[in-house]
Amino acid sequence: MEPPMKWMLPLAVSPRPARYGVAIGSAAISVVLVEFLLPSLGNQFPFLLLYPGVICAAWYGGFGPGLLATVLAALVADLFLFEPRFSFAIAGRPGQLAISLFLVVGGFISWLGEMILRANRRLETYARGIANQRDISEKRAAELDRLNESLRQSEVRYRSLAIATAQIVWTTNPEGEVAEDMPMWRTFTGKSEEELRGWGWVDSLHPEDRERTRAVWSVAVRARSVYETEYRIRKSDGEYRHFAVRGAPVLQADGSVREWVGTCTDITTRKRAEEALRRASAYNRRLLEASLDPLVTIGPDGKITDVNEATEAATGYPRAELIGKDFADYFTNPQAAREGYERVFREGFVRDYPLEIRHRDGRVTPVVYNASVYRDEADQVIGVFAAARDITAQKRAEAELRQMSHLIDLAHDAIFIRGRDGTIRSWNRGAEQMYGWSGEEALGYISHDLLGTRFPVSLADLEDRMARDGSWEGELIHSRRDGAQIVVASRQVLDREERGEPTVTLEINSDITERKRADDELRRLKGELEERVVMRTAQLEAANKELESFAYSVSHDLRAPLRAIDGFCQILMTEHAPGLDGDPRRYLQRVSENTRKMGRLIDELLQFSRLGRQAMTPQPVAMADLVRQCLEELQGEREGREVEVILGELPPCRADAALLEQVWLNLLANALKFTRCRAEARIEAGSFARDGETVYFVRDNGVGFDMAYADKLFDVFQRLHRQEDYEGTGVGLALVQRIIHRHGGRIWAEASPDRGAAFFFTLGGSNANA
Amino acid sequence: MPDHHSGHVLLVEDNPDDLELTLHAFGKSGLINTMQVVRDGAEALDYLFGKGEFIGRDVLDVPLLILLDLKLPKVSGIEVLRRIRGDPRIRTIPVVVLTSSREEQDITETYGLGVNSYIVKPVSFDEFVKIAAQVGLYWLLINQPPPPFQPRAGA
Repeated sequence: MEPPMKWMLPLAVSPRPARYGVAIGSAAISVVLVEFLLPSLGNQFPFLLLYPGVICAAWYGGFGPGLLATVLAALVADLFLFEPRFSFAIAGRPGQLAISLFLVVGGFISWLGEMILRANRRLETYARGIANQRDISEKRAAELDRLNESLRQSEVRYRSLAIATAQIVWTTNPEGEVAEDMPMWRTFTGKSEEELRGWGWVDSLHPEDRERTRAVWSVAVRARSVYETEYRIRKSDGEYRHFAVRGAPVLQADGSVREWVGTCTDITTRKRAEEALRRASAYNRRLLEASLDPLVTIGPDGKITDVNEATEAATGYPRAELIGKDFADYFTNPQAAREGYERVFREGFVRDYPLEIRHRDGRVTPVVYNASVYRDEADQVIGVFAAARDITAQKRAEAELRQMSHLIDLAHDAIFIRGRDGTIRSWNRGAEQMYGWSGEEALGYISHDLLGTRFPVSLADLEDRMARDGSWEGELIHSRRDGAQIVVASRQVLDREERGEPTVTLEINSDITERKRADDELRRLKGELEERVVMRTAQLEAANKELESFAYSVSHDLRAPLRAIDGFCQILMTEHAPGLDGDPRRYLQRVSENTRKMGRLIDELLQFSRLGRQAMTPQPVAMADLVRQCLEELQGEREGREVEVILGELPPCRADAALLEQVWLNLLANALKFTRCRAEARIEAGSFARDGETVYFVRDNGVGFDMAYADKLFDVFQRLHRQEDYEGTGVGLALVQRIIHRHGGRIWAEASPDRGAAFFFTLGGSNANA
Repeated sequence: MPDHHSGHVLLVEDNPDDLELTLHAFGKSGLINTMQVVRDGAEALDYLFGKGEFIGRDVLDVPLLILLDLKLPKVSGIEVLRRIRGDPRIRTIPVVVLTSSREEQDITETYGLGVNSYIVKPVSFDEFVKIAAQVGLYWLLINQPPPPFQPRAGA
């Protein structure tokens, strides 16, 4: 407030130069007054004219200026009024006295002026104090008014605010119990004042929040600290809403808690927004992670800002390590990678940008990148979003396709693809060579027209078959470009799309013209051969017959003369030359012996030849019995001799019993024969198993033989001993071998001269069924 | 030793050596029966059926025993045997095959035709003599010959 204006105030506050200026001015005015008024007044009281100036200066300026004006006036008076004039020297006592008096009076006036001035100043100060005090009380009153007003407004505003916002204001007593009505809480929850009292308000919280809230509130109340939590309040309509709660103790001057006040701020919307944001974020993250493609975001500085798991897998580095690193560092060609994302920042996107990701372990994954920039709300580019597509499989597939294509071109067969309309879609080099039409010429033609196909069945039948079975195989006749006809073995397959709709026909044709020709030739030759075989068989049969009749002749006719020779020799010896003695008789005996020997030879030879022709009747044979039976038969050979026969294990077998008997008879007879010289002959028959088959053997302690001749042992008419020592025809073992061979078995011998011999034989697989 | 059955023996043999030796052997064995010799199959049949050279011979005067060689000119021994067994008048005559053949085929076939015995002539004459004696002994002394053929009344 402006203080009331006072008349003294300008003087009181006038500055020192102004005050001294007034003094000098007053003195000057006094001099003028003396100069002009004195002559008219007379020279009696010259100083009277000087006093107003002094008074004026003292009044205005106080003691200093008053004194200055006094001195100046005294000097003027000295110069102008006293003799000698215009000199500071004063002649005469009265003048000096007058000046001195004037100086004293002037000084007194100045002192008085000073006193007045000071009194004025004090007065002024006092008056200002009074005024100030009045101002202050006025201000206070206004302030109070204003406070009242603002309080009123605040209340109104507060009320409106409380209504407008979803804030709930609450108060409790120092113990944290609700003691007063909480209208807002009551309105919000729809509960009664009574229900909310004490700790009753907790029941309007969400059941899950109650326990925690009680605890937090209790702790705050005890600690008198700021209470801050969140809970859900059940609205009167049953809806739970989230509130952020803050409360503080209201302290009294003595530091004790007067009460607690607080607010509950509805943050449901914020919560929901947060939740939505969190969900959206999780959704985005999941979306990123769901991608099998390595995804990455790159900042403008080329540093990775985020990656998904597929990127971790592709690079071998964890996400935390990748973020913040140079994107380009993870490629075989960092320069190309850098250029890639730079282009995205420049042009906004790239499509199918080829790069190779280098895995931590050195493995390289070929990829193509599709990338675009992404922007913030202000449409400022903040990064690049890049998705890599692993094209390893694609590359492999491409390579395989390329290889398959080459392979198809390598084939001599004609391989081509026909569309549904029969037009040629693809035509390999084999087809070019086989038919003489180049790919360019053939493409687009209907294959059956171009090749003049002649079908073994009607085309309709073929197509029916194709539709039913999806494939067809058969021979076709095609015309080459040069008109020559060729026979092809054709294989056709209907290719179907995923839904099963036929798309194209794949056809492979092999030129079998030559083969057909060769087949025909072969067939002709085979026919000839068969004829020849029939002829030869007939010849063979004839020869066989001849052989049989020869054998018959041998058996019948060859023996007759022998018998005659022997017969007549005998008659000669016994009847006609009883006295014959010496050489003639011996010669006759020799003739007779030889005829008999020849008879045996013929018999055995016949037997041997018959063996080749005779049918075999394999049957189970009790080997041990058979051997015993043979020994029995050979009893005559043992007469008068010391022969030890040892029979070992002789498992049964499957063989022709009669033939097998011949084997044992021969082997045992041989053993008996070649042990004849032994005082104690020892013959062992037995068997052992070797390599899954049974080996039978006959071993003796006879004269044995030199293994050097073992290979001749089984030849017909081969003998290893002199006739005089051991009789025999040399057919026996040949016969044995032939029987064993006819059974599919083997026979061999082990011996050494004078150390005995052993014959071993097997019967092939035939003993397995015994 | 029982008495000899009366009657003759028919010997069918083409080989003169064998013939002589056989006769010799049978002679040595002490058989007293008459030996009627024919030299081939045809002659044997003529004899048996009273034909050709033997026309008028009483067919019912059958031999006690026929010694038959198999390998014969003109008609084989097998055929002769078949004809003998095919005629009711003479089919009961004991026939002993006396041959050099050991062929199974011959043995089987002759037995099939009802031969009474099959003897392979041994090369050794001594043995042959023994066999001849045994055959004679058995068939002419021991064996009971079949009764003579009786034509059925009214036949």
